[in-house]
Amino acid sequence: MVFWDILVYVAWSLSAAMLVWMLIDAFMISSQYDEEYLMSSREGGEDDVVHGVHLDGEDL
Amino acid sequence: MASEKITNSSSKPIAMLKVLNPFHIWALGVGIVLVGEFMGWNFTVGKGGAYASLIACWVIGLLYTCVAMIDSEVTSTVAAAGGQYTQAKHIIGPLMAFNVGLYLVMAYTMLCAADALVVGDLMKSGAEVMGYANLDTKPFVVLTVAFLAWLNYRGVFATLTLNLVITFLAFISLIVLFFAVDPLHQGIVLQHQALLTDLPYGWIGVIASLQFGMWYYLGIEGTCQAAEEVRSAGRSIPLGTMGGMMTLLVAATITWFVATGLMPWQYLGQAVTPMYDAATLLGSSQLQLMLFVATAFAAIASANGCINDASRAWFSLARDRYMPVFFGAIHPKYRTPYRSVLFLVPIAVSFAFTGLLDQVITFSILSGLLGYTFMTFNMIKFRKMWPLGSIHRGYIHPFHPIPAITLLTLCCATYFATFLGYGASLLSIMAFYILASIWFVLRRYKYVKRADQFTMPWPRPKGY
Repeated sequence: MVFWDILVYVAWSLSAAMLVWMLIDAFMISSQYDEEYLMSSREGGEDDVVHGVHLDGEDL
Repeated sequence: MASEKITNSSSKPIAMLKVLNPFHIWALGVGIVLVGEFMGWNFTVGKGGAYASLIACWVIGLLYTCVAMIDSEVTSTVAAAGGQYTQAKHIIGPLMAFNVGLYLVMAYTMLCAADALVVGDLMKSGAEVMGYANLDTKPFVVLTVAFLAWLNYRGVFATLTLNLVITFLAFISLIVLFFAVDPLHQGIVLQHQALLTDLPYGWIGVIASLQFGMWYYLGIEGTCQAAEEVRSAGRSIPLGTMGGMMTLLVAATITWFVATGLMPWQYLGQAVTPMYDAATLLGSSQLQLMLFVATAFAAIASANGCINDASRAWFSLARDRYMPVFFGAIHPKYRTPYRSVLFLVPIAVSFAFTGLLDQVITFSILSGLLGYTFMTFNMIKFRKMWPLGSIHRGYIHPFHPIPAITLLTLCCATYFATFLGYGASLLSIMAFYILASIWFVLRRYKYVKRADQFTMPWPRPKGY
C-alpha cells in the first residue's frame, strides 16, 4: 500500500530533520557561548530553598 | 572568534529552570511506569498463575511503596538532579555514587529502547489490521526516540506537560475498560469463578512471578530526577511520588481484575498486548481503538520520561566529573542538559535495533533492582548520620527502619526470582557493574574534584 510506504519515508525524514536540527543547534551554542559558562551550573540550582537548612538557624 | 563568545559576565551560574509542579512529577513517575499495565505485567501469570500475579502485584507494590517513601524523604532534602546518584554521593561515597548513576542511566536508556520497540510493533500491528503486512518498524523506533529527544532538548515544561496529558488519557482508558466489563456482576462479562484456578506451580511459581511483578511499578523512583527543576522540591516530590504510587496501585489492581476475568491464565501468561486483547474480547471496536491508542500513549510517555531521567543522571555524573565534563553543559536558552540528551539518542536507538526486548527489559529491571537495594543502606545511614531534627526534611517517612528492612527483604526475594528465570543475565549484569567499578577506581576517579563533592549546607554528620 502506497500510504505505508510514504509513511516510512516521512518517519525517516522527520527523524533526520530533528536530529540534524539538534546537532546544528548544539554546534551553534558551542560556537557562541563560552564553555565555562555552559558548564557553570551548581548542584541544586541557584535559588533552591529546600536543601536541609539547620532547624535552629535560618529556617525556610 | 573565541573573544566574541558570550561569557558569564554577571558571575551568575547557569541553571536549569524551576518550572515544574506536583502534577508534572506525577506525570513523570506514572508516565514511565504505566506502559507496564498495558503489557509485561501478565508474564507474572505465566510464571505462577492468576493468583500468583495478584500476590506479586501487591508484594511488589509494597516494595515500591517503601521505595517511594524512602525516596521522598531523601529527595526532599537532597534536591538535586541525579536523584539517587546525588544521594549516594552525599551519604555513602563516590564508588557507590558512580554505580548508582550508572544503574540509573542504563535502566532508563534500556527502558526507553524497549518503549520505542513497542511503538514500532504497534505501528506494525496497525498496518497489518489495515491490510499491509511486514511494515518496517525501524523508522518508527527512530522517530519515537528522535521526537522525544527533540522535545526534551527544547525544555522540560513542554516535555512533562505532554507526559501529563497522555499519561492521564492512558490511565482513564483503564478506568473505562474497568467499567465496561460490568465489575459488580460476576458471570455476565467477567468469569473469575471459572477462570481463577489454584497455583499451577505452587509457591515457587509465586516467588518466580515477583521478577515480572516489577513491571507494574518499574520507574516510579524516577520522579526525583526532576528535583532541580521543580518549584518546591520539598513539597512537590513527595506529593507527586506518593500520588503516583497510589495511582499505580489502583491501575495495577484494575488491570489484573479485568484481564484475569476475561482470559484463561495459559493465554494471558504469554500475551503480548493483554489489555488490547481484553478490549477485543468485549467486541467493541471503539474500546479496541481506545486501548490501541492508550497503549501507544503509555509507551510514548514512558520513553519520554526515560529520556528525561537518563539525561539528568548522565548530566549529573558529568557535572561532578564522574564522566567527561563535556556532558555537564546546560543549554543557555532552553535550560536543559542538551548534550546529555543528544548523547543518549544513538545509545537508545542501538539497544532498540537489537530487537531483544526481553533482554533489554531484564537489564533495565536488574539495574533498577540494584538501585533499590542501595536505597536501604542509604536510608539507614542517612538517618544515622543526620538524625531527625538535625537538618530540615520536606517529608519524613514513618516507621523507620521497617520500610528499609522490608525493602531489602523484598529485593532479595526478587533477586532469587530473577535468578530462577534469568540467572545468566543476572550474573552478566553483575559482572558488567563490577568491571565498570574497576574502571572507575583505576581510570576515572583521578579526574573527580573530591573537595567539590559535598554541596549540601548541612552540619557535620553525627560521629564524624
